[in-house]
Amino acid sequence: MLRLMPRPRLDERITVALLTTAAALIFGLAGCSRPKAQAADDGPDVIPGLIEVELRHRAPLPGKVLDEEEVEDDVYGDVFSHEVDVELEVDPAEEAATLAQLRAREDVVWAEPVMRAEALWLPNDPDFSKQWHLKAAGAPQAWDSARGEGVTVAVIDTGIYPVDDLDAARIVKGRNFVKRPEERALPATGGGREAVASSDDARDDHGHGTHVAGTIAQSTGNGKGVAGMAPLAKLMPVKVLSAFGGGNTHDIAEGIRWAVDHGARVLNLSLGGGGRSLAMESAVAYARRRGAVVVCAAGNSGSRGVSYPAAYPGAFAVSAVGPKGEAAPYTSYGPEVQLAAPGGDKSLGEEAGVLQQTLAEGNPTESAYRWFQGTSMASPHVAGAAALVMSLGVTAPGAVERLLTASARKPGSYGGAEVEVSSEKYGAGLLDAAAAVRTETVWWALWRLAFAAIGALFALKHARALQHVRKHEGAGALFWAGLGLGAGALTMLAPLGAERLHFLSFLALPPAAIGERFFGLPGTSALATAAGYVGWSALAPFALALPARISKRPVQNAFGALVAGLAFGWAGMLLHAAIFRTVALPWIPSFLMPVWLLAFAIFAWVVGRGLLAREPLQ
Amino acid sequence: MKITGTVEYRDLEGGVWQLAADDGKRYTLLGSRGDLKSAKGQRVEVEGSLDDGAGIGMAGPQLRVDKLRKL
Repeated sequence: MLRLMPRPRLDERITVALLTTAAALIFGLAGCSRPKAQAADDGPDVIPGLIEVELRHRAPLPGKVLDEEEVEDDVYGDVFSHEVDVELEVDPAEEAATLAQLRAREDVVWAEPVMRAEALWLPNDPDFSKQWHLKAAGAPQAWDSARGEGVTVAVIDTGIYPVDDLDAARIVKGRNFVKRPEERALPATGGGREAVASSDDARDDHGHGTHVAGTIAQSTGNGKGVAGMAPLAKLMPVKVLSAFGGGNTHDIAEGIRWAVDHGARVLNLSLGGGGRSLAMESAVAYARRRGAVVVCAAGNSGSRGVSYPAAYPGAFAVSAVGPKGEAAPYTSYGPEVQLAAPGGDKSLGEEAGVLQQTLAEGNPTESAYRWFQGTSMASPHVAGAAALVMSLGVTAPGAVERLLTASARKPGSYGGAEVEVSSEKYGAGLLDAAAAVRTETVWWALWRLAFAAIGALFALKHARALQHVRKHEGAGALFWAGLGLGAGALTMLAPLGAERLHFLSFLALPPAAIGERFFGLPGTSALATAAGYVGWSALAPFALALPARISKRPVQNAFGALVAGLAFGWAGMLLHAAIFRTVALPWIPSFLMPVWLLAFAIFAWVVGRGLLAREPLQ
Repeated sequence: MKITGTVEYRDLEGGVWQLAADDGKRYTLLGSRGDLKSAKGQRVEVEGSLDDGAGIGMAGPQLRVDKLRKL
């Protein structure tokens, strides 16, 4: 059958070779360290008063020489012709003039202001440098592509107090399930305790929930305090624990269901204890069935035996490690542990805890930055990472969990000594949000591209065998551009492009998920659902194919070529989603999802094939 | 139920109060932070009930404090 088909034409083979090379290049760029940013004379990363000069030979310079070093010739890398690299300290006020003067000199190869070393988006929160735990969890590298946009994380805890280092605009409406007024410590306007605990007031009166919320989405880049894992995620306060830090299983189960029903896609349960509760167990199962990732703290017993709810099926149990990546002495462990994350280990010192803003002694009138330790602190690192992963278009909780576990690091790799690996203590390993995000943006895009290209080549071959594609109507640049676009290959550019220009963050998404990101606002969930259905079906390429089909000589027609490519790209994207089971849609049972996606992948392929295979022109 | 023991502070989760009971068990205490703080390190008799719910401590059974009497 295949032998009967003609060999691919030369120009077609060249196109494929070019496309593969381009993909490999893009992948290579995304994978290796980022290129040095363009030398800008001002900007947030410029360190005032410092200039770096490359000289052809040693010569007197204005200002104070801080460092001088002979280096290879910049342009030719010639080891025999050395240049001199000098770091200069100058008066910041005259920096621009000095730069201009230096650049005009004959013996100066180049001169530029010294910039902060990393090309990463480094937040300006002053105490970010003390948050070893965010760096250990891989947050800074992940932020280049994802910051949790459009994902709501429910903090099922003692509530969230809107302290000044939380962005009040990103705290969505929550609920209080604690009914005992004697355990409610928030002062009413009069100063006394509120007579009746209001169900709408989910403000924290303990401090625990506010700290946990900070780890997930502390205001980041606001020049104040500290940072959080998923700075642009929304926080939903669900108060199920009293001012004493305890609560009953009925309220917690109710809180879980309420959060999922009100749009939370990640639940963080930094709580545990008691016996097995059917109410809580079925609530966890319900949440997961409805597409939420349920992240739970493993417990603080320091012994074998994961506490509930972490031990329920469907929960994602997180154990705690200290700054060296070794299991914290207090962490509970057991076969249910899925992942380990930084929870702090204050036996190594106060600053080995997790630093966030919280309430000082539970007093709502006074906020403070405090180092806490506990598996409750580990769990929100994972919840934040789940939000980052979900903001890149993955909606199936199983896929989020698989991504996080598959990209986990080996225990002991935070710079500590290699420790004996115990899956009961570490699960799949240490959380690495950066690796999870990189898998989504680079590897998955390559998979989609490969699926799409194979489908397109097969369709082209077939169409040509039937002599449906005329010789001069071969697949051109627009066809392949459409294919790349449809397959979501632009996601590979996200770590490069979105790093400074965060409004380009949509590049990090496969096209099918773009609608969801922008409609996923509270109150417009019907729109988000509709966008999800349109994206994860073949409706978009089909709708575009109709006008393209009607127009004459579609493949030759630029629009037709683009849409044909888009259809094949879309088919590749849907096929990837079907195989990797990354997508969950409301009202479709998860076991039917691959069938749905596969059916539409075939449909999208047929749409593309239909655009190619028109009758030969008379 | 009445249990006697020593009130201990554990630096977990921002601060958890526990009762090292004379029977060798360790309970996480649910009660007013001020009362517990004032009894830190002291022998007490706690009148309260076992709470089979969940909380932030996640380290042993929870004991809801109704009355705290220093011995």
